[in-house]
Amino acid sequence: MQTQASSSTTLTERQQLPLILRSLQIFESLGVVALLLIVLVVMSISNPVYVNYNNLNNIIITASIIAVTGLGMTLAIAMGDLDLSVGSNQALSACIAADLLTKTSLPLTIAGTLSLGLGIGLINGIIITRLRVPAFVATLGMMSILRGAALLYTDGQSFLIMGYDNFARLNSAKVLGIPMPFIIALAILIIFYILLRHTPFGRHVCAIGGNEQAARATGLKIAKTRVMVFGLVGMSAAMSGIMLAAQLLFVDGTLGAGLELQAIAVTVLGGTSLAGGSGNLPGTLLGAILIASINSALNILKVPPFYQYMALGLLLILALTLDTIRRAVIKRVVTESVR
Amino acid sequence: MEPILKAQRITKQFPGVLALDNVDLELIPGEVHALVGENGAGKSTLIKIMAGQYQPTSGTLIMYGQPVHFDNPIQSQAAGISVINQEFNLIPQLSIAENIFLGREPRRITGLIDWKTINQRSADVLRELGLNVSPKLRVEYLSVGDLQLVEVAKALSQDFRVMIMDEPTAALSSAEVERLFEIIEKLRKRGAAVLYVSHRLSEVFRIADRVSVLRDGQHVGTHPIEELTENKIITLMLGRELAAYTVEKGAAVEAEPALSVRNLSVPGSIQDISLDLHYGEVLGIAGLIGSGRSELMRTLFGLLTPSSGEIYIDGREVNIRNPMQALQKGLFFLPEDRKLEGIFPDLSVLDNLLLKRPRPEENFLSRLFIARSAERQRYEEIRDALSVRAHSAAQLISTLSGGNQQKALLGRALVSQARIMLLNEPSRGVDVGTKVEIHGLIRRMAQEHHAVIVSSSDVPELVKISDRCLVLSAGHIAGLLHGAQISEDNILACAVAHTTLEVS
Repeated sequence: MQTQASSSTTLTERQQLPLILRSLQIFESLGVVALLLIVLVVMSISNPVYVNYNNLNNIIITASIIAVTGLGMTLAIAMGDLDLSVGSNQALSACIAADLLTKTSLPLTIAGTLSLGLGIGLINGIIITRLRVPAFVATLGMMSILRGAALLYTDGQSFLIMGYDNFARLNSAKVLGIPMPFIIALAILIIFYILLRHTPFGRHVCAIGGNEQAARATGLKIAKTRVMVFGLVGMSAAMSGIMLAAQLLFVDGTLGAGLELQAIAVTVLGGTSLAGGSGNLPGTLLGAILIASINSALNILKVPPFYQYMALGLLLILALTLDTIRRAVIKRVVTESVR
Repeated sequence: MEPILKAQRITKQFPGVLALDNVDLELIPGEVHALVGENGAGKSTLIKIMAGQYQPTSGTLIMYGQPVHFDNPIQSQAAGISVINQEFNLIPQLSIAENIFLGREPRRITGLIDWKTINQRSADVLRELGLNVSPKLRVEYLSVGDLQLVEVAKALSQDFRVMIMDEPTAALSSAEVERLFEIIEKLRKRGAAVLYVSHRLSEVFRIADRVSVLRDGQHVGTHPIEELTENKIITLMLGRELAAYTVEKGAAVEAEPALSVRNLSVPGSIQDISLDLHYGEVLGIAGLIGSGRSELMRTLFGLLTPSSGEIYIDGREVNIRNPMQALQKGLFFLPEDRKLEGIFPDLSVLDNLLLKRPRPEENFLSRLFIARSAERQRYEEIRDALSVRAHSAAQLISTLSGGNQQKALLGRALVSQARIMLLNEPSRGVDVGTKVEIHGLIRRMAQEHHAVIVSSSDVPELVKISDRCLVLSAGHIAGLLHGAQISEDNILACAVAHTTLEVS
């Protein structure tokens, strides 16, 4: 062991650096936690209604629905891509779920809607990999196609979902006091987390996002991985459509407008860099809770809903600014330490 | 002994360049085979063919007596050829272990990644290489030397019979190099065939059993190391006798320098560089790939940030943090890679020329709007001065020949009104006639009292145009040649034979 003495000093010297950086990575989502605390404290002082059980319950449910889409978006962003079709996908899925409910059982409704979402995502992926259309453009096109499809499907009308208690319980049921939507979001978080961190598939997603050239030189199946990721994004958007229908108990073709921006915002707020290469899934859930809290606060403060759009836009820009600063800081720390 | 891998009459034709011309090579089990040659001799092309990255125009690869054909790197890998590339193929956001096992991750029964095995086996390889870091560390936090070791670890952790190493020591410290040599020794004993490509002849003499020399795409011979001396290898590489050389260190400063650099260092690339550049002279900078030549130029233009050292222009200390400040200080920079950093392919010749120019004399309106007629006049002046052959000012620059593109880029130097010219590879990829014109232009710049630095991998070019020539090696100044000392032999000898292994 004595021969190890000299090498162990270099070991600790070397590992001081990762320690600093590891804490920086933890702080990836610190900004969102801080903002969340500020919102909670300010609101509980200024208006106690905000922190009553019902309102917090609503915040959590809304957050969960955004989070489910955001978790899918996190996978796409980790791979260095965006999926802009998630909002209209959610709308179409909600409408289809409402329709299927009148025709078949609840499990089949869910299975059918999820398969549809998966299919939409796979088509996205195939357009991107086979037709070589950039993901941004392919999903922008799909966003418009699906919106049209949802409006056509409902013929521009709204439909109430009445008399399906089982379906409504997807939203209202509680397990150990925890709302069902949050449990769904947590379950998807855990599944995606394992997928992203502990399977070759997930590592390849990050590899493609980090350096596609090197991923190709290493012989990874880039097209297959990409198609699968878009399939998962589509499926998670469909899941959030089901959850939204269960929450609102009515559907129309205009649901989910702007969800793609929310999903990107919560992902970036949560600490996932738009540069790709890694995905912070727990951060995305936190980001979703933050956005839902802010929206609820604006509602309670009787701020007209139009301001919520502005708030979302500001938050998105803030999130991206934080992302840039964070990367610059990490880079500076690294270049100063590795001399 | 039966060779594991044999290259038979390999020819590789690129558009306009015959990179390899009927090259034969045999790799025998238990042998370290060094491959040497000047820049552009065809070493990298040959390696890339063996690695499946290129396909030969004609000729065959034979493995264990059977002809093989590799369409891609995966096939070559599957056949048992492992390559340490000169450029790194690493994913910054993944851990070291994840990078080492990327694409062939061991799994547990559950289908999840077997982290224990990955991290354990990575740690073993890293320890063997003497890299004392956790395999869980993200690659983006490693230094260049460590990145190189991770590339080595990646290659070593595969199943291979042939190990190809392309300049594996370019970024390593001497201790790390020693460690690598121990590993190569083990590979040799294990019966693997090692193809070792290096500019550092001292390394070749340390480890090689046989040496093959390439010159201008041709195989000029394979010799057992015992039959060779450094001079003999250099003679084979050059194709003629090496004249006696002398190197004088330190320049005699006769007048106030235009540009002075003192003890300039950039982590991982250049170390303690000092130089003086005078108005009216052309200072050549020579050095092999990895010598820090391009990094020095980029640092002077504010594209890299030095960790220490000072830069003076006309005797005043300057702090250049970005190219914009460099332009304001009167520097001009001709980028090394025309396609990557030079031209805007979708803009016209005129726009490419006049895109960025100082216009202090112009009034507000003409700064705001583009005065087409004035621009056209300026363009025609420069076109005629440099004899750029374009049939109209509106022609897209990407439709010009390489030589005319390069002349248009050099035209930017005339537009810029800069007094200090930093020219990288001024005649790369241009035809012989244009090359002569460009050399004339560079000499003219000096006569017109500009201060010119030419960084080039083309040694005859440096000999032709430099008043003085600085030779870099492994980030250090290996020599400063004056007047008659500036010869191909001296430059090459400085860059190759006097290479030190000390980087840290």
